[in-house]
Amino acid sequence: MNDRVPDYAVPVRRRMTALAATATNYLVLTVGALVYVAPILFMIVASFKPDERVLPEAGTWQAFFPERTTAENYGDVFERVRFGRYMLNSMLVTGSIVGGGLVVNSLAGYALARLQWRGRGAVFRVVLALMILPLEAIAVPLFYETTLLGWRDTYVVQIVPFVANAFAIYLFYSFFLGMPKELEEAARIDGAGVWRTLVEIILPNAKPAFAAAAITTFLMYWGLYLWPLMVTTHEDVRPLPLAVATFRTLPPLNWGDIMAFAVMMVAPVLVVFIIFQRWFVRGVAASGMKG
Amino acid sequence: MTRRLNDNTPTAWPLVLPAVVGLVAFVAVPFLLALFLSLTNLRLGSPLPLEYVGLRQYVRIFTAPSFQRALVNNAVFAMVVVPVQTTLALALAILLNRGLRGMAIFRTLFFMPVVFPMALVAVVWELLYAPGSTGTLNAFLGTVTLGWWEPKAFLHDAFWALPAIMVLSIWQGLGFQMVILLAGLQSIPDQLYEAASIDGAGKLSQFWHVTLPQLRNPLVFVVLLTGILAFRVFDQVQILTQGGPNDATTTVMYEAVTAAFSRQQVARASAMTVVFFLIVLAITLGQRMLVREEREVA
Amino acid sequence: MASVELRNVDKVFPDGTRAVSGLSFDVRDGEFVVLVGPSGCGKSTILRMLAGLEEVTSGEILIDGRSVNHLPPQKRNTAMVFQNYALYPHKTVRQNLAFPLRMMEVPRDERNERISQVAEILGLTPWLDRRPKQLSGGQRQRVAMGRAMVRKPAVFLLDEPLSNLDAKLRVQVRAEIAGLQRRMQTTTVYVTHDQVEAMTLGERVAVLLDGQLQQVGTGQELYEQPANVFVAGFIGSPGMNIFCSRLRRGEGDTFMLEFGDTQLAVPNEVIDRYGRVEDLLDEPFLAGLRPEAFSPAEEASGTNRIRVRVASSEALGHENIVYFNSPVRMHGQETITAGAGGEEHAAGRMAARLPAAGSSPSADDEFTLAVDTGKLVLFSQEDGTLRSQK
Repeated sequence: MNDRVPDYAVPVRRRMTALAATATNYLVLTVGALVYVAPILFMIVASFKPDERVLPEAGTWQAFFPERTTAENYGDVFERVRFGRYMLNSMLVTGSIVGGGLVVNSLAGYALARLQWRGRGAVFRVVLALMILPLEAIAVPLFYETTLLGWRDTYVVQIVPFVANAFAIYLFYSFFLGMPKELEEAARIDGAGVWRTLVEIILPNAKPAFAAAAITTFLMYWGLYLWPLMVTTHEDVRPLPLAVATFRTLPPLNWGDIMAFAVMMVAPVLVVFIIFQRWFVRGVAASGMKG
Repeated sequence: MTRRLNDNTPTAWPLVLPAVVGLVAFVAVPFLLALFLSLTNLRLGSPLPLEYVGLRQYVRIFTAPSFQRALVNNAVFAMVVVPVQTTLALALAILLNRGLRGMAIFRTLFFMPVVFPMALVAVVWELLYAPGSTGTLNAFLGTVTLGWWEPKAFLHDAFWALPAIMVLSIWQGLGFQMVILLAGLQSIPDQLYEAASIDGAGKLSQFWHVTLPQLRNPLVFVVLLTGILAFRVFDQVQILTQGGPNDATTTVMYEAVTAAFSRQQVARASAMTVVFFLIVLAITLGQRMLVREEREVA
Repeated sequence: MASVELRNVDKVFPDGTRAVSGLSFDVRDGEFVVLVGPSGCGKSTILRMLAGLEEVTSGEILIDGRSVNHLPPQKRNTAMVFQNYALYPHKTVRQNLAFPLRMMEVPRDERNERISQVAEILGLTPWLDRRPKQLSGGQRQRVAMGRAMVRKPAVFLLDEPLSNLDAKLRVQVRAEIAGLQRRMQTTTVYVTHDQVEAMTLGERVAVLLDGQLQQVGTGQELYEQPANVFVAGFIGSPGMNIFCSRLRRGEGDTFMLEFGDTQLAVPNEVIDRYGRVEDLLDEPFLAGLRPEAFSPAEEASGTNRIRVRVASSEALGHENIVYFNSPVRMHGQETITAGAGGEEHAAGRMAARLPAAGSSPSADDEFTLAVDTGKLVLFSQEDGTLRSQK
């Protein structure tokens, strides 16, 4: 390395190393992204290939750049199974869990954060304790409990146990704790009771918490497989994750169809995600910071 | 007796009641039930009467080779996936934090798999793992190693099955960690880096002395989360390998669900889930202690 | 409109902090009273107890003769202006003003009328449909006041409403608040840490320290007859000079105040105020002289002349505040200072308010001051309170 670099060359060299760094940055990211996204591309392309060509060509360029494309797989899916119904089930179940959860958990979070009441300490400790229990720890006994209630093969069994969510309650609790007290005090002095303050003053200002809770809850339950596997047998109520796994074992084994099923399954969520990605990212990050 | 001025008990309970009922009925009660059942001999359809058997179920599962293997598999999973996924996520987050244009696109691409249900990821990767030289991954590895690679039937190979599952799990979860770490990185004030560089710290030094300490909380959180997830593995295993070949990919939850449904051994399954819970508890308490340590120091 | 009474009020927080002790005073119907004191003196806590936001540990609070200890804020008919305004951020100005009226179930027509009136008075009419984040600090402050005014409450409670405004705006709004209150004649309790605000706004001022009431009175009373050395030092900027001294008999029927190596003549009227002169002689006490008691003198001879050396000074344009080395031991000053020549002075500083003339004095200048002892105040040595007056 030549140490005696003329003065005017130093800024140039610094600029060039900066440029090189940026270029490497982009290069690494692009390669990484391509490799990373490859399975998704593969899935999409395969869904447009004739069934018999999917597997044999999986290891070739035609996996990504097909010679022949067809849309018949998509039609086949609908002929073979009730895809529409599955989609409806997933949306209904997840939507209800998220919607119900937003109401139930936000109210509870607020009561814990801002009101004084008998039993508050005990309830808070219970929430903290239950926060670390993942579904799997209670799935088996919960299964028997819900069977006793006669809830097998229903929407109810897929929704109700998950509406009250300790993690979401904690999320709302932290958020409400962080809100300035003066707003509520001003409302109280202005004559508003607890309910009115909640509905008119607090909740309209809690949008970030709602977004974070909605998105994390959605991500938790949209792809749920274990639970529906345990508690449902009838197609009428089965959600998409279960359906895709069963479809995969349904003879005849047409990979094209399976990939088409997969694409249709993620497409709506992916579109929503891409449109609202900033909210998704913010919501995920928010729960991460709270953790 | 006049009520205290700020006591809101009658108004608060309706707010909190649905959540309390839900949590108690559908989380607390099943948990206690699991504890209770694990100490019995309950097996549905069995002619034996229900009786208390103490820790016999636990002894049984810990001496069962398949459950032992499951614990080992989950532990291996945790010990590999957690560092690998976290390092990759951190690396990506750092690359994305440079403030260059178009970062949002990359961020979206890396995050996409997170919105995919694991069941779906499993089905797609099954195709990628197709055996023989025509399988995508086999073909790719064959090309990259210039023919040295011999095609493997990943999901049916006692050695490669678990790694195969680990790879697809990392693929699905990476984006989530990356987003959290990215948020953590973005919350580090520039001034810390400026002060460090004025003090003479180079890039590597800055990373070690500024970035990592500031990232401590998000890092601990993602490590904890991924660690717990490592023990929850079920979907992929159930769909792709059913625990095989020869228990090579069995996990605690897979064993538990199989015991409960295929063999009606409710008590045994409950014992397994209790063990699972204790592991999760240990990990969580470990994290809480780590975080508390930092708070005291700060 | 209502009277407010606090009777022996104590406030102890759950963690044991005693915020208010044995507080008793009244506010007359329509009066403007200011609570003033340093941070942590309990003034905001008192306001919050009046509002119903904090519970009273013991004692009673009466509004219009009714005990309100157990009434929640909603039922007390008080209105509060918060330091940070606490405007509802998602509502427009109009909706912010309407909210309390809706809670009071005022019918819509009257509601709109009151809102227009208040908006008119406060100059908010063009902003009625904006949200708080679109408004400047001064405008937000007016909305906060408007929200209180629109209710026509019995008592206005204002918690340091001016502290978030810049200095110029503060002076302007201060005058407006005073004018508004005169018009509306609503009983007002106003909290501030700024004694200038207190003196200019309050019909009566209550000075607080560590949760205890030091003195209540008009600004003039507090200034000329401070009840103790804290009030003397707190009111006035700079505060009263308080020093240790004794009274001696002088020639004839006069009395002299010890003042370092000189003595100052004290008018008999001053002595008479403090009871029997025999009790005063030769006993150590604390004496107070305001900075205005000093004036520049031409000759060094004559009564009540002192020669002083300047320590530092502040030029304010119309006057200078000159700090000079005190010839006597000052109360409450422990510092040992070094002069420019390196000598140490084990004495404190006194402040003098002198008219600006030419250049301002610099450190170590020496000159002669005349001392007017006509407004001398005496405090007891033991507890710093005003010696009893006839």
